[in-house]
Amino acid sequence: MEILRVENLSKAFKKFKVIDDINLSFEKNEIFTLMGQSGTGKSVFLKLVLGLLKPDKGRIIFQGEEITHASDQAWIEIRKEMGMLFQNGALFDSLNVFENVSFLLTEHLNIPHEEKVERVYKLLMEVGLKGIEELYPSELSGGMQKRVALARTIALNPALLFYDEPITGLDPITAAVIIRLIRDLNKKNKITSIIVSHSIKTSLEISDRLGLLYRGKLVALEEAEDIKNSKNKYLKQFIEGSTKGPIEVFLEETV
Amino acid sequence: MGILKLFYERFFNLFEQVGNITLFTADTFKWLFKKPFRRQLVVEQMEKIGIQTLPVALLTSAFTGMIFIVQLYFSLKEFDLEPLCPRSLGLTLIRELAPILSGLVMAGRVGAAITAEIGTMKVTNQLDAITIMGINPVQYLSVPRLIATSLAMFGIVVMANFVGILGGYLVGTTLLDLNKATFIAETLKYIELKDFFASAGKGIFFGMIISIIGCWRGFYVKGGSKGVGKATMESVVISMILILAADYVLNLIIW
Repeated sequence: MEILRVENLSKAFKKFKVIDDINLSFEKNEIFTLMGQSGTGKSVFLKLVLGLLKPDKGRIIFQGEEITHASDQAWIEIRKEMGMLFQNGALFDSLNVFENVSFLLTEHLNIPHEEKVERVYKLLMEVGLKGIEELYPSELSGGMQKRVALARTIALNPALLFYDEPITGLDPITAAVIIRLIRDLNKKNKITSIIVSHSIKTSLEISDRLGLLYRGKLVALEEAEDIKNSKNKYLKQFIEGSTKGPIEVFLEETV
Repeated sequence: MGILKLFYERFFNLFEQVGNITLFTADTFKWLFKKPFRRQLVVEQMEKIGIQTLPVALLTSAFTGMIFIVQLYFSLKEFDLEPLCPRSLGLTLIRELAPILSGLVMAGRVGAAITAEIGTMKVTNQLDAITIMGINPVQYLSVPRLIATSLAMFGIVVMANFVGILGGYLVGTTLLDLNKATFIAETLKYIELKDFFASAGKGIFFGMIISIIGCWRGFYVKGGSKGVGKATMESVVISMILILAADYVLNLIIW
């Protein structure tokens, strides 16, 4: 069953096309990874789907309803069903961990303080953290910040969760923890996950399907299990990390 | 040709900025009257703003009163008109100096802090995070600051009036030979209720300018930490210019 679909989605900044006529649909409860080099439009794609940017052309359909031109007030309701884990976590640096994780509960649910405390502890336990409620984001490591941000993001149990480079900049062990958390959330909480990443290993390990963006166009779309035998030249070059192929690479001769 | 182009670009840029400020102001006032009302955030902001501004604003006002009485005394003494000192001090402080100086102090302290805080939130994706959580960032950040800054300015201007006159009184009656008994009576005799309300009203209006400009510049920061620094400086300069211009216009309207 489909949860999100984009049709002919396009976005340009001045004359530079960042997203170029993308058609893509996402199934409920799947883990989808959108890959691509830096600057190919992955983050812009996320911002378009989340309504942070308006597309120049195309439609976005979420849970069967078109949301492309939804009003500010309508977006407030739509976004309660969505969540996003930013590359840097985007924790509120003036709030401590407890206040960060309880932020959505405070803003959207009228629940007693005791229940809020209980839910925050539970959320932190879900991401494997304990006893850090009073700490501020600047006192946490990068991995802990991401986990706290994840706890904050899943507080209202969204139907759809976006991850922007979830493991970039993390050590392999912390990265493995984050990957396991994404998978657990997908299985236990039935959260559809759309990941933006340029890590091949992670993408193959975690995803049900993968797409490849190149110069704003979706040049490959495959089931994860078919990736290794894919004949798609873009995908092959990207996976092999080769400089030769349809993906143009500008290299300067160095002595 | 180059100068013409530069002039055209500058003019166009100014026009664009005025439009942006107008739209942002309208947006803030639109959200001011929408639920939920975040009383707690207003109180927090008032505490912060009061602590940041009150001591400096009162010191400035006290010293202004002290200096002003000395200058008045020696200027008027030449014509044996020194009994007019208390009257001139009271009217000038209440009508002009207290609101203007408090406004300029607050622009430097609070306006800069608002822009730096919101600007940093912008470049670290915290504003996007608020939006994605289904919360309007203008309503969450700008509205409480608008209310808090305006109310704080009201209180600060009222106190600055009192402290400024007190400073003038102390210097006038101890270092100069102004009469203690007639000083207060002469000061109060010429101050009307209208002057008091105009003074406090100016304070509220200047508070609005400071918070709107501070928030607006923060929301539209570009270019990372360097951009935050530039925006902070611009926020202070624009606020100060607007306060002086608004004071002129308000004077024409009120008196």
